[in-house]
Amino acid sequence: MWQFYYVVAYPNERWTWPNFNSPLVWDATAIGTYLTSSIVFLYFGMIPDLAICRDTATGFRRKFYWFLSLGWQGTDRQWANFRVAYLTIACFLIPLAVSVHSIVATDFAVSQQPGWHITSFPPYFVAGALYSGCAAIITLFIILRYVFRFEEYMTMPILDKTCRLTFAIAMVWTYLNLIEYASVWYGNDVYAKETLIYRATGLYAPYWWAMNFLGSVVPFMLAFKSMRNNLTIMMVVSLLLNMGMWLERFMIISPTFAHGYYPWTWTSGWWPSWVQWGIVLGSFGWFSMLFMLFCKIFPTVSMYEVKEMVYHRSEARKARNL
Amino acid sequence: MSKVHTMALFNDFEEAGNALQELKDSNLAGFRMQDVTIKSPIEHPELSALLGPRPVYVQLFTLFGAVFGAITGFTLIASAQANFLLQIRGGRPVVPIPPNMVLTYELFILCGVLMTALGCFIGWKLPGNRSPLYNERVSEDKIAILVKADSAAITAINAIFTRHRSLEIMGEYD
Repeated sequence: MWQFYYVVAYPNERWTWPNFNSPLVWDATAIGTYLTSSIVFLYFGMIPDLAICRDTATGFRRKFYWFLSLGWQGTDRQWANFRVAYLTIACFLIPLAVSVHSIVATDFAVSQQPGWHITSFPPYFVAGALYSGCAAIITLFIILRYVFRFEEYMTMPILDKTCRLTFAIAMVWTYLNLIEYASVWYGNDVYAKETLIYRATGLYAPYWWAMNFLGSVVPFMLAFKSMRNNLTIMMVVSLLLNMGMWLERFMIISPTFAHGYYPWTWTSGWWPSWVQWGIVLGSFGWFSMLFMLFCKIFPTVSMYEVKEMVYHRSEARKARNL
Repeated sequence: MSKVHTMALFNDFEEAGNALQELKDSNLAGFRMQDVTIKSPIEHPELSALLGPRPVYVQLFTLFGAVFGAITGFTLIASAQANFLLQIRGGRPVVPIPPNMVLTYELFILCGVLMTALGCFIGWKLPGNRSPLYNERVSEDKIAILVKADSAAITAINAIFTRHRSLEIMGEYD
């Protein structure tokens, strides 16, 4: 994190600019753009709900929500501007999500290292990001539904659709994985082929097979409606998928470090030190803490969207009865 | 003639819509539909349509932001590349277009998003322009109609509100 300075696109004290042709510089910019745009999108969508919080809260909380709701009163002019702006930002974010994951993939793909120099990496990373994101959504969906008793808002049809989407993305991810294996296997790059064989048979074999099993076989459980309707099974499946996706990232990095071009750089197995494990666990801790704080302070279900849904359903019911 | 604000609260969109329609048809002296504001917990395009056209200019901000971001991004990168003291490029271009497109694209999106948000805030006239009357029951699914009109017209307007079963009428002088 403290080396972030070296990839941000501004000159250092010797007036040396970073290499703008390097994907590392692209990555820093893409992540910065993604973070900023996502925060704007998240906050923007919450403004009508923050105004509801302001109108019902008391004391310092009222001041807090008053400040954040930016004077929202739900006027026709505010709604019209809000709709256009929210939709526009959403339209920007979709290609941005594709670009940011493609650029992260380019960090690896433009290098010459065996196991990383792979053409299909950008779509593979995009599919992987969507896949792990959907799996995480299923996990958090079930937890929030249980903890906050959100059965009426987080309904089973929504979970069902999310599971179907996850299954579809899992199949795309599996397809891209198979493309990678096939192109390396039938290609002329002996180093890449050796690295692939090393992954499947060497020190990392249990993790490689576990990744393929968890990422490509376990999602078939999502294909069955009876499974999708069982929250306990879905919770277990989503955790397994998350684990598979974590192993995917681990398997991208580690075997190439341990088994690169030069035999004298080979190790008996690169394994994270306790410091690195601490960073991983710490990041999980930070995420959990920030997520729980968010759930405590901000609305976890979009209230105005639920109101819109209820209103339009009641109008449709009225129209049917007429 | 002094201008007066009056705001009525309604139970649902139907009653508010009826009141609005009667206001529109009334042709009261000292009253214009442009001075009517609806406050609602959700967007209601049919009700807003009664108020007449109210253009939204957010897209112009978006266009400006996106174009500005792309041009500025490319110019900054290209000028930095052109200003390297030593250009040991081995025949490759000093300002290569394809790799520069990546950062140009990122700045295109970043500036587009930020200007969209700014355009929306300007469209809301925030933070300076707060509507003079507000009722917190709008957050509890009630609908408010705020009218700015000549003081002479206000009695007739309030009578229309009352006729359409308004829950509460609030007033304030400029």
